[in-house]
Amino acid sequence: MPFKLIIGAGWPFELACEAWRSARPDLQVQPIEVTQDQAYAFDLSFLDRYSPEDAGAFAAFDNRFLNFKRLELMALIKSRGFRLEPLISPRAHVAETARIGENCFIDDGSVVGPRAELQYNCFVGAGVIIGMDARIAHSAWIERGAVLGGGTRIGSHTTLGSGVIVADGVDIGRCCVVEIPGTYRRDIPAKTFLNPDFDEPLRTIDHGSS
Amino acid sequence: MRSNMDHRYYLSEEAYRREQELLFGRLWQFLTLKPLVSKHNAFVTRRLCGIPVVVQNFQGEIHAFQNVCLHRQQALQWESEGRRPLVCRYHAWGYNARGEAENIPFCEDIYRFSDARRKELRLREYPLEIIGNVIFVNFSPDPIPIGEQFDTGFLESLRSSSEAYDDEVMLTTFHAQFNWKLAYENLRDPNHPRFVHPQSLAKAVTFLPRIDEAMSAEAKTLSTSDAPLQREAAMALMRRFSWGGPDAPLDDAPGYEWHRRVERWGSADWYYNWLAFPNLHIASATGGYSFIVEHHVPVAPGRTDLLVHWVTAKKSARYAWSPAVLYSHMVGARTVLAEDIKVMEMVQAALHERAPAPSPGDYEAMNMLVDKWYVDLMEGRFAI
Repeated sequence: MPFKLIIGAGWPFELACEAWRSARPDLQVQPIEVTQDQAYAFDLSFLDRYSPEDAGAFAAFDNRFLNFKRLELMALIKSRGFRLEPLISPRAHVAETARIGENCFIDDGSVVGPRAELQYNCFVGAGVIIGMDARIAHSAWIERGAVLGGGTRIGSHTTLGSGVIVADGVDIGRCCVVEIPGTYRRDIPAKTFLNPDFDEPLRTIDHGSS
Repeated sequence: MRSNMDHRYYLSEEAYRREQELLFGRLWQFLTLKPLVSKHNAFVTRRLCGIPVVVQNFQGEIHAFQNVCLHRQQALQWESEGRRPLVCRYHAWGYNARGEAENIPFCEDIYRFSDARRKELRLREYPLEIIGNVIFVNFSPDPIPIGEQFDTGFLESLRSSSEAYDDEVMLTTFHAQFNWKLAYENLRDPNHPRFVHPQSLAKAVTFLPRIDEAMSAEAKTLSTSDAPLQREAAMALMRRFSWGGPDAPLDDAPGYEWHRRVERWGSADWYYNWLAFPNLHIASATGGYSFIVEHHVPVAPGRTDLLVHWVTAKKSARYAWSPAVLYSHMVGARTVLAEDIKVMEMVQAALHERAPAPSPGDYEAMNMLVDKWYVDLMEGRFAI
């Protein structure tokens, strides 16, 4: 039976292990929990014991640091030659013409519409609806129950929280966090953070060239 | 010791208006950071002393004007930060670096202003002082030299440290329900972190209250004296209210990966603080790798808008995840800010006509000196 190495930590790791077992009973799931050292670096030396010829892999980590840590983990695994197929729950509905990138996770009950595109390393929580022709750039993180209208554009490393509805055709820039539930009918510039713990949005100004 | 600070200075509309006129209307006050207006047509708008202000870059020149079109009193720039020419969206009047209405569409055909009238059409400009990357504005018709407000050592420390700021700045505003002065009384109180921030700030750094015997004696003498401060002595005293530099050693200085990607200011693992009187606080909780710039803007006797800017030291080279660095640290800073805001809002809520006067201890001598200075200013015993 071929191996599937699930590499990560925390609840996304546990969720991914369960989901892979459910989605692919033909695979032998091998959970490998990783830790970070004092400098927050991953140690993947344990992968020396495995050959990319014998095993596929999947990086499962939470969205800390705007999902850059999960991307770092994925990149480290990929650099060792492992394939990182996406994980699509058998209880999700993904249109045949949709494109799903490496190391994406589509959880139970999600719907991905025709010609929608998710680049690599995206997380799509349970019950998310992604409309036709939506474009989700890499390392986006979409919490359970969010709704993305047709033709929406979501930038890389952007997080959309539960209860967020993005109206048809709206662009959300890269490295945004939208965690205040509501319907968003206007574009949101890159590096804008709508966090309910703050009185006002956090915005980022960068006119420089450093 | 007993403080001379009366509850009216925190609660009364009349005192608030007087404070705006006698203190904020006369002193240099923080307007914004230079990286926010570093490129042609980049602008920032703020409302200070009740005046809407726009500070804008015109081909490298930075000027501040009243943000009100001379035609129909429309705000010229609408957003708090942005980049566009200084052109009114209502009837497209455009203004140049001197504040002149350089372009009035269809001027000759429909406005029919005389040449003399055209020359009069000039936005009200406010003087600026730029210290490193920190921009100060003054609303007085006769501004004091900035050197009369801050001593040269402080200005040099502010210039040197702020020149280390990166161009990428994250900012937000907290709407707090307390008088702005409470924030600075709190910031001058090193005894509060262990009680207010036991699980946050106080875990990373130990602030120790110290007693300066000479200052304590001076504060006792001044605060019990009926003799008013003379202007020269008052201005010299005021310069001592602003200071900056290493404040306390970091117990366990963190070594984040991004530290290697920025040009650290200094090399000491210390918590740095700068207080620029009256209402600017800057701190570096990372020993010069990053800075938080807090501007407490009074908006009513019991309301303060706290504008928070978070910036790293200059990047050696761009890296993709710098927004994650800014965001994660701003979220961390919010924990400490929210703890302070909560305490100060409860102090404000408890203030009333019969509230007992504060009873500061010897370690609070600087607050006592500020109190004496402030009361004498507000009671008209000297003027800035």
